[in-house]
Formats: sequence, structure tokens, C-alpha cells
Amino acid sequence: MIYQPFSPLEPSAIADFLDFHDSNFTQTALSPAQVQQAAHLSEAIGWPEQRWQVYRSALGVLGFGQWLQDCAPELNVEAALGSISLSQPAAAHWISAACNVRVGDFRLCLLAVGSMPDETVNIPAAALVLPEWSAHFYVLVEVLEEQDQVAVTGFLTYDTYRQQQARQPLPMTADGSYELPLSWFQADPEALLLQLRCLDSAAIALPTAPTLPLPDPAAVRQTLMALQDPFLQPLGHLLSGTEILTLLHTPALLSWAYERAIAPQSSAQPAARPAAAIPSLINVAHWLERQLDEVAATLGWVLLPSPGLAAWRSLRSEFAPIRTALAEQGLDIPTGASGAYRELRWSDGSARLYALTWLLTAQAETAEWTLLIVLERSPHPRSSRLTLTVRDETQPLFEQALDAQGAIYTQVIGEVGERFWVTVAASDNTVFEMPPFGFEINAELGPE
Amino acid sequence: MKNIVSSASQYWQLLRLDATGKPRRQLLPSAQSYFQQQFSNGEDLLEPSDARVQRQLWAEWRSRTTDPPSAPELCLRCYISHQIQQACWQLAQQFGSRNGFEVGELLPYVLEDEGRSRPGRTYQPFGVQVLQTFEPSKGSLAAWTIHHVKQHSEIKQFLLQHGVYLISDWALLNDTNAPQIRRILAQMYQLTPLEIEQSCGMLESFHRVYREERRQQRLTGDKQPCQPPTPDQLRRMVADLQAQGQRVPTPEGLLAQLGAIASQVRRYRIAVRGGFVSTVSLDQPDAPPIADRPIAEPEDAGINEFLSFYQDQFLQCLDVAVAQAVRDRVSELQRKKSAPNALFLDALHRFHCQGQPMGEIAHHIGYGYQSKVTRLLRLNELRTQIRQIALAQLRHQVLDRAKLYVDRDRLQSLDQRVDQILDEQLAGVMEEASAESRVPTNDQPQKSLLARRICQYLDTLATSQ
Repeated sequence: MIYQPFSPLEPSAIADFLDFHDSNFTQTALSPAQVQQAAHLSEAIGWPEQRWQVYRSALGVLGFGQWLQDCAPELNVEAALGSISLSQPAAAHWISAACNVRVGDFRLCLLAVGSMPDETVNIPAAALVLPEWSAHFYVLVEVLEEQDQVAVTGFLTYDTYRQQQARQPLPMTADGSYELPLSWFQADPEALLLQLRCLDSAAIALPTAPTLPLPDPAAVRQTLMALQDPFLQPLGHLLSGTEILTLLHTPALLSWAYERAIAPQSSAQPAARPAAAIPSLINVAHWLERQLDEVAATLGWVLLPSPGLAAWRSLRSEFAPIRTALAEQGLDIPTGASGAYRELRWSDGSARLYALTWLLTAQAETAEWTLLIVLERSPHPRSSRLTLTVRDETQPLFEQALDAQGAIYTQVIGEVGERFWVTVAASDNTVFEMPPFGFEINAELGPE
Repeated sequence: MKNIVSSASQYWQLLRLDATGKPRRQLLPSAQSYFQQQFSNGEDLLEPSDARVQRQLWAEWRSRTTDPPSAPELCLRCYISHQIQQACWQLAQQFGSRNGFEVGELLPYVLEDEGRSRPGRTYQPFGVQVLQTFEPSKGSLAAWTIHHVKQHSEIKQFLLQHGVYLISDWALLNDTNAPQIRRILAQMYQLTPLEIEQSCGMLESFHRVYREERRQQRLTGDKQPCQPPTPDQLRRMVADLQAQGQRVPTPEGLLAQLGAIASQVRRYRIAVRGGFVSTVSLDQPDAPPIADRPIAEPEDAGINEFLSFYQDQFLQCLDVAVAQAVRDRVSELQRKKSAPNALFLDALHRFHCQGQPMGEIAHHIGYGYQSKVTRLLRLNELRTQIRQIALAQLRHQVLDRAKLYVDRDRLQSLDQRVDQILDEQLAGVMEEASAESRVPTNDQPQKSLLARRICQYLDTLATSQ
């Protein structure tokens, strides 16, 4: 017998019987392989508290998919974990709801709930406000983790939500979610099945634009940049509700924030770096056409102006010493080169990070490009040590520290398709992470 | 108020299962004479409280463990057997009709004491295990027994298979978050803010340590119910509490506190569930659908027109749906390995074609209890699947879907109307040409449209094999 502590506090043995949990007819068991799959998915999450939520959510998705497979196999279910929000580490890092679950023509958002009865359902505001996160059906999936069982306990359609919200407007909570009354949900899984099978998707209109005014992404980025190593906390501690929405609505920004969030872990375990499914890359191919790519622009990089422009002359005076110093080291920057820079600021100092790029050979298949990184710090009385690190997909390539005023540089060479990650760390625990630099021809600029 | 006679006789009549699996009382003379001797003053039986009786019997038993079992031991074992039945009866009362099982199905797992001696065998009957772990200081023997019936792994497994589940303290704590515990402790127990924050802190430390380890355990593919936290886990929780600046208990103290929080949460859950939603018994397959469905609108003329216009297509779709739903169910049974297909199809045929009641079907297919048949067939669900698949198929065939399939309320009404039609027994709205319809046999009641189509399909299956 498995021993459970016998509590003499139990009022009477009879009352014990009432605390059985009773699932409805949709109760479905998960196989050990499915549980493992859910646990593996959650491994990619950098933040411990969130791992459990994502794990539970993944159990809900797999269980829901199994239930549909058993009772309505003719429905085309893409509940396998590929396309949903849980599979995108940058999103799942903060949002544990499983959005973008596709069943036939419908989009579903699955909300995992536990065995504890509650009068409200917590749902991230993004799932109700942002078009790309919204769903025709919001489905409550009860996850009994201990027994690997899942049941469908209720659902809410988007149009019903809009009607209810209009009648009884709910405020957004501080952490960017809504607490919807359980009574808004219909506790009839058969009705859900009927609609999934027979309803025209046109019956439920989804928003085509965010239903709330959102702050500008650049402003949100500023807010985040002003914070130091903050990202192991829930988003609600860092940003307001609508700022969170902007973050989730802007993939490049989300990706950048995510890279920052996982940076402390990644320095400890470089091999365990999860691949961000949302493509984020600073594509320097654009720079050679005197254009800043979208990702870099979002992150505050400034393109070095072409010679001849007024701006160049002032910048040239700043960059000139660097250029001279490099030339003395035997490194000449060709006239065809292009580049950009960004400012870095932390508690007790500031620096400027330059990235310059040019092609070494121009043949399409074997094109080689180079990236020159220069880190130049401003003078400051009490400044912490600054460390520049560059690595490629598999290993670190360069690491050097800069204590006082001055500059350090490094140059890497890569083929088309290769990527390099650049990190700048200040010894007050500030880490500047950014998406990798790459050279891609005809690649999509960032997500969407 | 206890009936002295029946309650006393529990101490000398052993409840056990006979060869057919039915419970029977067996009088144990040595136990009876011992008990009457100890607890009477010559003529009349005294009215000792159970607590006093148990304390005395227990002390007597412990003072001399003999083989064959002593009279005090037999007395206690008899009493335990009655409590075991009581526990099973309560479970069946509470969940049996809704979840499809009877008390007789539970008893074999736990009512296994035959009153015999146990010469050094490793496996002891459940009743003996209960006795061996009991101490009067732990409370009443009844509560102790019932508690252990609930914890019995096969009972839990059986209940789980029937949708009933006793969540462990630790899984419960896993599923309870800080805002919930705050609310519960404030509203139900009126604790002070300081006490609430302390409990909250302990819960969150528990989460931080326990959840991560549990999750990692699941990575390996291991499956087991949530175990009590290990001493190492408790130490880490204490360290976490310290790091949070909270008051720090000892690991043992923390374990006790967490258990107390779990108890508080359980009582809250019981209180919240106080009123039970009335549900449909699975024994009545033709009962109306689930209570939550909205009340049907008054006759929607558009729907009747629609169904009338597409009558032929609907009947075709119905047949397709019957075939598909039965096939899907067979696949599900295969996947879950819950019952052989042949058994399912046989039971289905008996119900729909031969009109046999559940009890008779149970007898024919070798199931001991009709609740088991009900559970196998899940007729309400099958009916729903058929109906929905038929409507989905029809949607592909009709030209003007805009009216009924693009409006959720009208779709619901259409579904309800079809449900009524499937129930219709007389040649009515939906009866097709007589060449196709099955002539009901003489001594069978007129079957509903749905039953006839299912029966027709099953007969086709049988003849094609």
C-alpha cells in the first residue's frame, strides 16, 4: 500500500468520499510516450516556474488531440505540437496557453486547468486581443497530471466572448491577462464537437487587427533596455498589460527580449541553447545595399551613412581613430563595406558596438562574407569590465575583456548561411544579447 | 444511534465473498463467545463504545500474537470486513450509477479475508493489512479501514477506469496556486494575513522544488502517482523558504504543514461540490441528452422544411454515419485494449436488433454486471456521434448551407430536431420507401429509426464476414 499520511484532522470518514474527482465522458488517458513528449517540450523553457505550466499545457494539447482522434477521427487535427504557440520558445517562455491549435478550418486556444475548482479562467490578453493569437474556440482542458488524464470541460467562442465583454467589460490584470468568469464557458463538449464538425468557420468572426490600441514597439524596447537582467521574472513585473501585447505582437521584439531572457542560462550551458522557432536574424546582406534589415532596425541599430553625406563626416571623426588603429594592425576596411552601430548603456557605463560587413568573394555558391565587430567604450570613472564574445553555431570563437576606455575588435569569416552570435557582457551582470548576424540572399526579413 | 445488536455482531460475523462472488456473513463461534464474555455482565450485552471495544481488543491481540488467529484478532478482522463493505457501498452509492459500476465489482479487490491463519506468507489479505497497521491512537478502526480502502491501488485503478479519481495530497498541492490558496484560507478559514502568507510561501516553495522534479521524472517516461516529498526535497524547500526570507520550519514540520494545507484545500473542495449536478444514468440509454443543452426553441419551420427537402440525402448520410461511428468506436476499443471488438458488436446487435435489456446482454456476453455492458456500449455517446457525423455529411451535400450551418443557434436546433427524429418509431417524417425498411419481428417493440439503421448495418457486417 502506498502510504498517505492519515490526518486525524479528517472530520469523518464519510466526508472523505466527497473528495473524489469525477471527470466527464471525455476523459482520455495519455500514453507514457505522450507524457514524455510534453515533458521534452517544456525542457526548452528557460524559466523554471514556466516549465511546469508549459508541460501541463502540452499534456492538455496532446490529450485533446487524442480525444478528437478517438471520437472524431474525421476531423483534421493538427494538435501535434508543431505549429502551436507552445512550440515557439520565445512565446512559450511567457505564455503557457496553447494557441493556434488547428482543427479543420478552425483555430483553437487550449487553456489547461488543474483539478482545483475555480470561478474564473485566466487567459492571456493576447489570445483575445491580437488577431494572430485569437481563436474561434477557447477550450478548457482539465489536466489531471498525476494520472495522465485529460478531459474537455468547457468552451467559449470568440463571438460569445465579444458579446459578454461588451455587456460586462472586464479589466486586464496587471500581468496582461483576463479573468473570465467560468459561467461564460459552455460546459458541453458535445456542442463543441457538433460545431467543429458542422459549423462554417464564417460563423465566428475573428479580429483582423488588435482590438486595443497598443504602444509603439520602439517605446517598449526602450523600457526593456532600461532594465537590468530582469527577464527571469513574469512579464507582468516588467511591462504593463498593453506593453506585453505589443511585445507579443512584434515577433522581432519578442525574439530579442527572449534572447535576453535566456542569456544567463546560455552562458552556463552553451550547448543547450534552444533554437528559436521564430526566425530572427540580422541579415547583413541588406546592409550592403545601404539598407538596415527589419530586425536590426527594431533593435536600435543605426546604419553607418554612406560617404558624402553630412552625417558621415561627423561619424567619420568618431570612427576614424578606429579605422586608423585597425589599419595599423593590417586590417583595411574596403570602400564597399557597410555597417551599423548601436549604443549600449548599463548601470555605470556606456559603449558603442560597431558591426561592419563586406563580401570577400562574390561567386553565388561559395560567397564568403566577413563580419568585423568593434566594441568601443566611453570613458567613465567607475566602470565595470566589459566582455565581448563571438561564437558560431557550435562553439565560441572569440572572447576578450575591456576594462578601461578604448576599443577591441574581432573579425570572423563565414559562408552564406553561417551565423554568428555576438554578446557583450558587463560585470554588473548586464548582458546584451542579440539575434545572430547572418548573410542570407533572398531570405525573408524576420518573421511574417 | 447504533443498533447494538447489529453493531456488536460485526465483531463476530466475518463478511466474505462466496464462490459466486456474493458477500455472505460467516459466524465465527470463537469470536462470538469471546466478545460476549468480554463485553457483557452475565445476561445483557453492555453498550460499550466502538472506541473502547477496539482499544481493548487491540491490546489483547497485541499481547499475544498466536497462530491460529486469536479470538480478539478475529473480532477485529470481522469488524474490519464490515467496514470494507461499508466503504465499497458508499463509493457505489456515490458514483456507481453515474459512472457505471456496482458495489459487487469493488468487493473482490478488498474483501479477501477468509478468517484463516497466515503462516508466514508474504501476502496478507487486505483486511489483515489494515489491522496490522492500526493503532487505537490513530482514531477509529472504521475510519482507518475506509481510508485504506480508498488508498487500495486496485480500487483506485478500478475507479479511475470508471472516471472517478482520488487525487493525492501532493498532486492537489501541485494543482493549487497561490491566489487560490489565499482565497480559500481567507474565505473559508478566516486566517490572518500573516498566516495566509506563511501558507502561501510554503506552497510556493513546494512548487519550486517538487514540480520541477516531478516534471523531470516524467521525462524519463516513469509513471507513478505523486509521492510524498522526500527528505532531500523537504530540505531544499526549507532552504528556498529561507532564501525568500520566510519563517523556516524543520523539514518534518514543513511536511506536516503541507499536509495540513492539503487537508484544508480538500475540505474546501468538498464544500464547493456540496450540491451534485443531476446527471443522466447510463442505464437509460434513451434518456434525454446532457442537462447543459439549451432548451429547444419552439418548432423551427425552416429546419423541418430543410430536413424534409433533403430527406433522401439525410437517410444516406445517416447510414454513412452509423458505419463510421461504429468503425471509430471499434478503433478506439482496439487502441485502448478495453474489450474485444466481437464482444462490442455482439452487445450492440443484441440491444438494437434483438431488443434485449442490459441485464440479459450482460449474461450472454459473460459480463457479471449490467453496468459493465452500459459502460462498454456508451450508447448515448454513440448516438451523438452518429447524429453529428450525419449532419456533417449532409452539409457537404446540400447546396444552401448558409441558413443552418452558419448560425450556431440554428445548428444546435437542427441537431436537436434530428435527435428527435432518430427517436421516432412510427413511419413518420423520415420514413423511407418500404423496400428499404426493415420489418420488425413480431415480439419486438417497434424500433426507433436510429435503432433500425444500426441494426441494418450490423446485419450487413455479419453477412459480409
